Amino acid sequence: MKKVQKIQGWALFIILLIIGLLMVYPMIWMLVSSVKSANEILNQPLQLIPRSFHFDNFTNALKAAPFMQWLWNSAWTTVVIVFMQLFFSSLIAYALTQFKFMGRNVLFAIILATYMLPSATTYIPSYVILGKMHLINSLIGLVISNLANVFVIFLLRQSFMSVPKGIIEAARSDGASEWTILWQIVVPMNKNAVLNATLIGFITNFNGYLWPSLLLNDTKKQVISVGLNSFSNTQGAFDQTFPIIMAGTTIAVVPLIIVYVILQKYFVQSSKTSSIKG
Amino acid sequence: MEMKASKRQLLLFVVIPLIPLVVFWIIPLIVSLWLSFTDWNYISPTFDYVGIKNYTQLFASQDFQQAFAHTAYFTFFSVVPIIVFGFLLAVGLNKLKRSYKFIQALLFAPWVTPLIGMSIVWGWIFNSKVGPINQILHILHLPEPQWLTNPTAAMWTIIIVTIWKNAGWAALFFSDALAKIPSSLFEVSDMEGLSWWQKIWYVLIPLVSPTTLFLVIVMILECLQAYDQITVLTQGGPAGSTTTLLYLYYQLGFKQFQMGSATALSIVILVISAILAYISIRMSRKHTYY
Amino acid sequence: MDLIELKRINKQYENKEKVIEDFDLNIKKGDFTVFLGPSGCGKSTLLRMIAGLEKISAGELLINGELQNDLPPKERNIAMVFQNYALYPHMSVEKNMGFGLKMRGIDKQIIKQKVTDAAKILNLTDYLDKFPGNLSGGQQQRVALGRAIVRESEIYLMDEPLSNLDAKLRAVMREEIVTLHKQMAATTIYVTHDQTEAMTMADRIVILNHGDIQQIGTPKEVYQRPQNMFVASFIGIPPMNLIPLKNHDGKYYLENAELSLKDDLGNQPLVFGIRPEDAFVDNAAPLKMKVTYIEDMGADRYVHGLVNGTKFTLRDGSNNDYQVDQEIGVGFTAQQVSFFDQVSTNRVEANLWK
Ligand SMILES: Nc1ncnc2c1ncn2[C@@H]1O[C@H](COP(=O)(O)OP(=O)(O)OP(=O)(O)O)[C@@H](O)[C@H]1O
Ligand SMILES: [Mg+2]
Repeated sequence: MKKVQKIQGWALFIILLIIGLLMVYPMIWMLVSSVKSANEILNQPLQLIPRSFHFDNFTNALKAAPFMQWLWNSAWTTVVIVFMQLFFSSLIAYALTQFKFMGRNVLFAIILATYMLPSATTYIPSYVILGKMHLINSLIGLVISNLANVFVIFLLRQSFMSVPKGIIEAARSDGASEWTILWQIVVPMNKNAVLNATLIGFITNFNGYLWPSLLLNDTKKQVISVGLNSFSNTQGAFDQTFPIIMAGTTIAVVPLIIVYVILQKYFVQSSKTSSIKG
Repeated sequence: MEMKASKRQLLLFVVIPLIPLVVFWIIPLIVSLWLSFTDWNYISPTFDYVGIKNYTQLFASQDFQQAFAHTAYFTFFSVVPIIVFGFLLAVGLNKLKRSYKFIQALLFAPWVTPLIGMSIVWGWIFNSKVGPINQILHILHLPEPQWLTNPTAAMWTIIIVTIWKNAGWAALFFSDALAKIPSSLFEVSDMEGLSWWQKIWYVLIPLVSPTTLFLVIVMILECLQAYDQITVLTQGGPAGSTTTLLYLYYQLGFKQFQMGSATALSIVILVISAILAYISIRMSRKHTYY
Repeated sequence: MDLIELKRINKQYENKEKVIEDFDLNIKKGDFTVFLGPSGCGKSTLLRMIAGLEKISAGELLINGELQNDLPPKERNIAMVFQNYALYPHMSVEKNMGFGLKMRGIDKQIIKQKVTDAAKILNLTDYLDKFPGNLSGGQQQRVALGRAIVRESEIYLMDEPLSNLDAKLRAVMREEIVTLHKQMAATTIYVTHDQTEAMTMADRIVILNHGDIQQIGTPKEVYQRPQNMFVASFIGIPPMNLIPLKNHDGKYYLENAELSLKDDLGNQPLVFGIRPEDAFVDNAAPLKMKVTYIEDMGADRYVHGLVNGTKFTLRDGSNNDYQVDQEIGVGFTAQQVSFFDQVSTNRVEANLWK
């Protein structure tokens, strides 16, 4: 009986391992192809260990398009967006949980409703509004139009609700201002929720495509997803350009893989609390 | 006791932080609704009110009907496998005695990597001439579909990529829900003599049903808003066979600049989302017994 | 032949120390046996091994003389009531109670009949359509019992089934369970760390500590004749007073008073034990106690104090006033005295003259 269980345990492990490896197969295949020669890919696409390493694919890709600029654009806009979203959302979530004011319930209802709606509905008017502000084709415009994130408000509000009232009252009676209470007591007490919001916000913003692709035109001003797609389109689906496209894609994807591998533990935890992307 | 907020505090904590939400969410939603009753074309400074003409035209147009059908097809055949695979993977994961974390990390990786980049990779993997999938099918002497140029196959390419991206993510939720089931419930079922499939059918599935419902609605909304994989792999083609409602919205609004029709379509997508969200909330009320 | 026989049972969780070692116990048909012991002593482990939920590392479990070690739980004809009820939250009370029968392929009509009958006994008739989430703790508890009853098993196992209830409900349920046990002529093993439950419900109490049996006996036996100092101090609220005796030239002294033993024990070092209710205030007595505090229980009270540094408690029914730090004399009923060996802590049979 014990033996049967052991065999079953191993079989399960191997099946899941195979499925897991299939899930990351596209990433592996991308990495492998990015250092192969065009001929090798065409003749032996299944070969997982390249016969010769062609790192010049990367130098060629970097020469053909400003990948580093794009990564930088994505990185700083994402950091600013996530930071600002957390900042604003913390304030609102604090008000929603700790203040009494007229329209509080209405406000929360609106936030809940917005939470489920497709952001695409807002694109055309947002585009016009940014146009009025002369912020089309500008990374500042991208940042500004992403400052609100209903998901983060919702997540933080749910988390802030669990802070015991007594702690806040004690702080008030100690003479702390609401601002101090929020940043020095409530936010540190909810660092898990804040971490969740940070990671999810980072992933969704860094990987975002549709809205930045509508907003940004100049090659120099692209974020990485948009730049990568236009790079892939301009190189064309020709066999000979294939390695350079894979090299470009690798440049775009690897930063996230690295972040994921380092922060894996937190990602798996935090995604559970995520639901709809902002 | 909650504190009554002063004017200054309200300004700092509510009014200012709400500005971006109002400017880029609330106002655009209202403006969208308003634009959907006009014939604005983005370029000309003037426009006329056309009543519900945008909507009637939209509903009558073949493009819309097709896109609606494609969206329904795409959504159904993505969401069902995502849920089923996600559940099965979670059941497996929770039984796993070793390397749980490692395998979970593998399964979850597709959700983290950028879909644009990975769709480019998938495009080559599905390449009918040199892609590894058809190479393998070739070795196995199986039919080699023209993945990206045959209308049905193209839709399935999109579906497969969508499942790939989300199944591990769904598994994470399911495995969390499964882990929260008290082990004594399984012990009771042992004592009552349930076979393994009876346990799954009578105990596991009903107990994770709130999670299932949640994932179904989130995945439907995700599919309604799917864009990256379509724009990279098929651009809505061939012959419009992978044009979903959202993709049609993009084409109407940002390629053809028919802002009236596009906003009308976006309102339709919004209404569909709202209806689904409402149904899900109603259903989850009925299904939460604990 | 006894209904349940545990022979040299051992249990070791993976890569851990042994929890149960060479455990022997026989349980007669129809007995209400209570496993009593402090938290973590292995009560649940034992019960779960009998149920088949936990593997037996070594030894034999026999039911009706048949070896059970490798039988899956469902083939053991045992019903179990779990500490946390373990009700299916997605099934109504009726479904919960009938589910086990349904899975055994029993006719719907019969299930309905049995569930209705059980619900009547347990006063659950009005709740059959409700879900567990909408029931109080006591009601859920009864559903868990009902689920076990309808199975009509030979053996019922209950793991601290009342631990989540308030004191009043617990008292009511204790009675209900004992009544049910008698009605069904069942054999029940009941786990608890609440000695009141053990004393009031059991035919036989098995007192455990660190996976070892300390004593097996009727409630009266374990109370009056504790087999070792662990049992003496574990049973009884407040527990038995224990004072080491001094020993000079074959004579035993309780503090400065000589105790005259009937039996000759040589120079064996002894501990003297007396329950608080068998001690009383007697200012003429040579044994002196310094009062530290007084616990008023209404009908009577417990006077706590120190006898030459050792804690001592006595029950006092008088209306006298005692002050903290006051020195009072302590007398005791000679027939109720227990003695234990100081080294082995086991009971020593000895009696006082007087
Ligand atoms: N699954 C397990 N794996 C490892 N050790 C365990 C496991 N279950 C119990 N133990 C250990 O076995 C010992 C006995 O546990 P058991 O649950 O039988 O105690 P108990 O007498 O029922 O206690 P309580 O009154 O708290 O329920 C404890 O030391 C516990 O830590
Ligand atoms: Mg226990």
